[in-house]
Amino acid sequence: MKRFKNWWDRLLFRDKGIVPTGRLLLFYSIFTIFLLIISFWRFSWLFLGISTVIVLFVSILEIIFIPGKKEVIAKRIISGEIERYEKSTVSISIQNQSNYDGMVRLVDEIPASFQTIFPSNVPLHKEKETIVDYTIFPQVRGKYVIDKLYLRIRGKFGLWERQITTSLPDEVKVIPNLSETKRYLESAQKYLLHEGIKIRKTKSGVGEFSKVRNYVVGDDPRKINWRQSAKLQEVMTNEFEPEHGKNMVILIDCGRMMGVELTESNRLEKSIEAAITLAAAALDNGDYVTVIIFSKEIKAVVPAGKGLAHLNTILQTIYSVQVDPQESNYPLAMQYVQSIQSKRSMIILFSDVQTFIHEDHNLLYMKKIRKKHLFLMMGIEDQLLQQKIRTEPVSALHTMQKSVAQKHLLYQKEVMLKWQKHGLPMIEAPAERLAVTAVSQYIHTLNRGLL
Amino acid sequence: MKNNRDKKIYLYGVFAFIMLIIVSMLSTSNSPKEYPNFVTESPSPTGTKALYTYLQEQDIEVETQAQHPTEITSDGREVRMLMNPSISTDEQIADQYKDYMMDGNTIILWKYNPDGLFELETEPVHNGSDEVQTVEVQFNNQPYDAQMESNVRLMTKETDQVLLEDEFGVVGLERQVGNGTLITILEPGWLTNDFLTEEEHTALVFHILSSAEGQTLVFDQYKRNSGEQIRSHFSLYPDWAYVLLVEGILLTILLLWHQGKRFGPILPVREEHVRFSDERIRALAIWYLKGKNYHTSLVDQANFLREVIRERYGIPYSKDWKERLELLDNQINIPAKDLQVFAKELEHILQQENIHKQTYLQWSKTINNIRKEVEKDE
Repeated sequence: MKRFKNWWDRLLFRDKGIVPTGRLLLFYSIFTIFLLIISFWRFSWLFLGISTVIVLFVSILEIIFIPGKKEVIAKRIISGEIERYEKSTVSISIQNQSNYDGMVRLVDEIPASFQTIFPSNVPLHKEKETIVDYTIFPQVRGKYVIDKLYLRIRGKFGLWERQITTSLPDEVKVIPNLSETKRYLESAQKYLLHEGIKIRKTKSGVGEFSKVRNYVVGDDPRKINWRQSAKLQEVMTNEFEPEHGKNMVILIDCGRMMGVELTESNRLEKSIEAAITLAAAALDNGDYVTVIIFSKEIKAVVPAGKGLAHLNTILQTIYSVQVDPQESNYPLAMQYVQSIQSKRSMIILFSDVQTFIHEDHNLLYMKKIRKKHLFLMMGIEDQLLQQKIRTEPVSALHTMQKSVAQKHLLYQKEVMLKWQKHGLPMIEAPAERLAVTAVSQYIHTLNRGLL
Repeated sequence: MKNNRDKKIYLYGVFAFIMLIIVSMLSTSNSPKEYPNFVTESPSPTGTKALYTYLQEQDIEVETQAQHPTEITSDGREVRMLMNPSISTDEQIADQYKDYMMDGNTIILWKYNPDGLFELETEPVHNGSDEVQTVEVQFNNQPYDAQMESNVRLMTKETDQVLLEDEFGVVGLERQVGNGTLITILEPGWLTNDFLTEEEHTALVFHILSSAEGQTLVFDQYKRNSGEQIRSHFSLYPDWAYVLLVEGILLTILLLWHQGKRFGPILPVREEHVRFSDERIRALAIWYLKGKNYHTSLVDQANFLREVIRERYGIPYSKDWKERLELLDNQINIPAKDLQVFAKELEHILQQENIHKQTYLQWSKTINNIRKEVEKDE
């Protein structure tokens, strides 16, 4: 079968050979109309045959004046690492070594998720190098290999095109979108503005010394640094901030239900981006961050690390994680966390609440974990469920769906309440606010000194 | 190693295939050549080569013509044999043959059923069986044995001269057309190589052909030999249609080539890994519906409404529906009376195990309306 396919490809000149252009079709149509008109007066098979052969033969002579495969050398320049939802430019350099001008259009073997429009009809001057640029807009994170470059070159008359395919393997990593992380790192206070949370630094008595700054009205007078005030002839005060060097474990579920579509990308995508922002916040604060990705089994682990450089390690490890078509194994993940993290830490689980609550034995594990660690579960609000709850009962099926959705939501609320009573908070946030909610929860925990 | 052996097997296959083609070509070239019926060169049982060559050897002036009837030229001294011609719808051809006879020529028409040709009429006869029968045919009041295949007989006019007849009717007649003559015989089979010498066919045929003595006997082969047939195929449509056909085929090939040549990679479609969060709800809903769990569904909806009311107005679960809805009075845009009726009926319906689908839908609508009222912003 494979051999047959090979032969078939060869027979059809797959990825090479010549193609008639639209212009040739137009000319040929005109020629047909011309012959048709003549046939009303005179008709002869010989004339028809000869004229047809001559027209096709003359048109095909153009191929001689189209730059050939060996005379065209192409190169691709593409950055190896692109952020999701960030536009990037790919440059193709085409060197025309032949003595003929041409027009080129190209298609690159990029995945469909790299939304792009390929340039067409770019002039290719003889004995010169031409640079063709196009913009890509990657929609899906992952690791891709871009190999073949397909070119179609037409000559001066543009009746026929020659197709050339060159193999130019390039590896491209599409990493998660870091715009939220950057916004946080630029100004944490501003990022959390809408949450109304302040990174509290003035809490007296707790935390460690941060810096000396000007006294402002409202500061605790007991914290005035008299020595510095005397030195600088200005009232200065000591500032404290929460302790550094806490431990944080981020668990990301990549099981079946994390592949659920949102209005923009899927749950896993959003969870990963939120996790990276959270990791950046923690690392910026001088904490240790561990990242574990799991579905049925543990997929990837980033051991505890400190400093913003650790963010890159996390990014490189988790950028290519894909959704597994399997149910998530929560007990395994919890056991694993306990085995690698013996110090008290904050465990944040990014998962789907609906799946999580339907497993009874989870609570047992969590209670055990609760004794040592601080647990928080982050989920993405199910917009479709809300929509289903609010549909009009127009048919029996719709009404049934509606009632099932309502039942699920009630049950979810009930279970979430029960867990909260055991000190295991579960938070559902809308997809676009997941990262900011996660970060604010973290800051909140630090401010309250729970860790 | 394995690859090599594969290649060998492959080559054997190709070789065998080529051999098959050669053998089949040789075997087909040995098969007898096929002729159309009543062709003068045909030695096959259906041909008329025997009669034709015999006449030639007897120094009778015979010739074969195959041109289109419009191209016939004559000097008025010809006898033309039309052997089982097709009934043509072309008026022009019929007129041409008529003119030919008007000029003083003779046409001998051999046809099983000539009805519609040269204004001839026939009537069907029932001789008891469909098989070919040997009958006695009268010619000049003399009986001859002959095989009759035709199941019609000719209808004569007063001016016609009957040549042949049998017990069922007229088998052959002679009619004056202008200066010429039309002779019609219902049995072209007598002329064929197979049947010419059977019974007394030979005698009958020569009696009929005797009228051609001293004249040229023309065997009309129009539409008989294959060359003529091809020509007729191509003259079926006007010339421009053939130009359109040929160029249309070429244009279609070019268009398909232009459109169909792959340019770019094969992209897999994105659909299998896409899933929606309501898959569980959908599946359960269908399952509930099949089990007709309308009661359970109504209870769920009522529970949800209770929760919505609790969230909005803080009315606890411990209150029953009547109390709850009384407390809602003046808060929502539904009259107190309606709410009372609703509360009473809802408690009643929630007790019932079997609910009809219509009732279920109606109640779902009512519950939904109250929910919307409760959730509405002031």
